[in-house]
Amino acid sequence: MAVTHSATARAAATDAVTALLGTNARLKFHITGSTVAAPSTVVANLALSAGANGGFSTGGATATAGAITSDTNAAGGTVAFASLQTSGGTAIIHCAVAASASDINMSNGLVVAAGDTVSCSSLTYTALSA
Amino acid sequence: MSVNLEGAVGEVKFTLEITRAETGEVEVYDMVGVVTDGELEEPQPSEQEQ
Repeated sequence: MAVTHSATARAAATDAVTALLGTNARLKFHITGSTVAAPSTVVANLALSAGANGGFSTGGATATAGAITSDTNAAGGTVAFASLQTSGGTAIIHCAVAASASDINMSNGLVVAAGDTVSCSSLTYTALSA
Repeated sequence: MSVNLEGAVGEVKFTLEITRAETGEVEVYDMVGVVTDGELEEPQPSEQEQ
């Protein structure tokens, strides 16, 4: 039975999750085999805005990240997972990245070479979509 | 009688820009991910990996 949440409840859920990111959180991309409990080898590592809630906006069902610092010298590898993590490396939000049979659909695979610059120009998170 | 209530799953959206070190070419990827409440299954390799 599907559940519909009020806008207030959805905002509270989103804020509760982003609060777990704390300050100086990171957006990391990992190779295959990554789990939320044990993120795998890092392909690229980007710093989120330094504020609380991982630098995300608060008070809405969808939180928008503040400015994200590029990784100007990526380690490289094939991106399989995206992960929002605390400054200490604890994954709070974790999702798969691949072209098919994945939680993210991409038109092409995403292979990052060592030394490439990886930037994120926009990032939003919604805890409950309804 | 029991009722199983399931909330809608979360979502992450982001735009990635990859600037290639060798060529300077910029590639842009719009991505949408769904956050599930359990461990995620390992994704299948993309065509470029095969």
